[in-house]
Amino acid sequence: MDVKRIAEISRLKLSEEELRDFSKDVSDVLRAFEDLKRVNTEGVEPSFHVVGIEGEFREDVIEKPLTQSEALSNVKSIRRGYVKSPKLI
Amino acid sequence: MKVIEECKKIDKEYEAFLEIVKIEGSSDGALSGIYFSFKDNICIKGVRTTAGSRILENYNPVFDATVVERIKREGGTIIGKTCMDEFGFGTFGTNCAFKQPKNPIDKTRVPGGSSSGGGVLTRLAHFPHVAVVESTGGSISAPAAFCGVYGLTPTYGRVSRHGLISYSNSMDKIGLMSKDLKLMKKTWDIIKGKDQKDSTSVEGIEKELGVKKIGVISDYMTASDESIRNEVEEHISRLGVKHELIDLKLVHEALSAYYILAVCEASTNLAKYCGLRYGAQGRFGDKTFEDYVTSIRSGNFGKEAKRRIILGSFARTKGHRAEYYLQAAKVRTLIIREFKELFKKYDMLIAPTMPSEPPTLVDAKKMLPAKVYANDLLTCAPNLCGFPMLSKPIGKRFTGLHMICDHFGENKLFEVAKWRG
Repeated sequence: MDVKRIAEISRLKLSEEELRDFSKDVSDVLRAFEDLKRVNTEGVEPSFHVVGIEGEFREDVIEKPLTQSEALSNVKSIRRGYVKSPKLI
Repeated sequence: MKVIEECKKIDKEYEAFLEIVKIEGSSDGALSGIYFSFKDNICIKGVRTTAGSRILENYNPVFDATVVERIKREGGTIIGKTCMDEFGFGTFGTNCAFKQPKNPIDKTRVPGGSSSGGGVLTRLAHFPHVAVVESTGGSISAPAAFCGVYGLTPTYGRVSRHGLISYSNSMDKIGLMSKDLKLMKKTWDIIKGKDQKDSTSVEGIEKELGVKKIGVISDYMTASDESIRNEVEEHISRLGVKHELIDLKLVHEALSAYYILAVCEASTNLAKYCGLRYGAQGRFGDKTFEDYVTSIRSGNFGKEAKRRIILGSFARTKGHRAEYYLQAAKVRTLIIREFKELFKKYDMLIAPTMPSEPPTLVDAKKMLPAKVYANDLLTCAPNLCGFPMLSKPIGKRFTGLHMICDHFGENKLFEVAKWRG
């Protein structure tokens, strides 16, 4: 696995030490998980919700939402009531 | 005030808390007179909530989690937020960005994780206390066994997760720890049940009481140290109920399936931390969006979080998704089927909670990741399948008796936990 590339797409910049350690750790872990591939799962559906509920909806009732100041209360950079971000392009 | 003073004293010596507060609930209710601590990934309005991570160091929630609301409404008193491994990533409790909780029975050893502080406080508190904690793959059972207290991990979906900071959406469950089963049951009756704010929550129909036949998981017994195995065997024989040894077909595969799904879901959950809306934030300077987000994430996630992001991102890439993620979800189906078949024959399955005694803090920190993950062997399968489980402290020090039931079988767990063994 190209750990550096995977880190980049995950928006992580690794130090040389981290890159060295993770390359070893990750291949050790993936090797330990090889047994998974040997299980015959032909025709088996994957389980995403283990208790088996689906399509749950709540009543379509308007509730009191957070105020704008509450929603922004953890933001450090605010401009005109919006979250400010660094330039995208 | 006496209780808060005691909490401060415990914290000074054992580092169990990330915040100590006192918030009184309603003046009257079923939980009046009981003190509640919350794992630091459960939001309490106005109380710093970090999930044990620097990336959420100054996060101040603007709402209460549903479980907090329900406890306050019934008169429970909140005493603080307990220490945890970063986002729940840890078996031993050695992975919090801020503190290192110590085992309350032997301070040189780990307390178990990831609900480390909850286990430590539960053991040491001399007041009526219930810890509200959370488990993904064993994070309630492991510290309950290592700290010598009761730990309940409920059926997936039975407790609302509104206000819980997610690690792995298909496995996270809010549960409880206590030294007192009665207090635990009282709290359980208040916190369980459907919540409109969590679409994955379920009401469920409680399984009928009556435990007549128990299956003892032989693979988990043989994977455990002899002293632990002996204590569990002795306890089971004293229960005086019919029991048989049973074999599981997919023991090691369950560990692999659990970890693959957990890291995949963790890597998506942690993608939202970008240093703009809450938690760690910095100066933009001349940085582009990409560089800014990368610098915040690289500088504030701990090593294990980064490792899991990389593993999970890899297992979800186009070329590997079917091989890892989907295969793990299919293996999960097979494991659920296997357990469901066993529950047709047995009212409950039993095994040791943890395969060995807690390592020392020094040894645990030197352990390689694959070896640490292997310590979840006994707890990961029921967590992967969302079955309820209760760890009961037995034996001399660190042994837990792990009782596992079919979905919605929590009352059976309480029933057998009361039996003297």
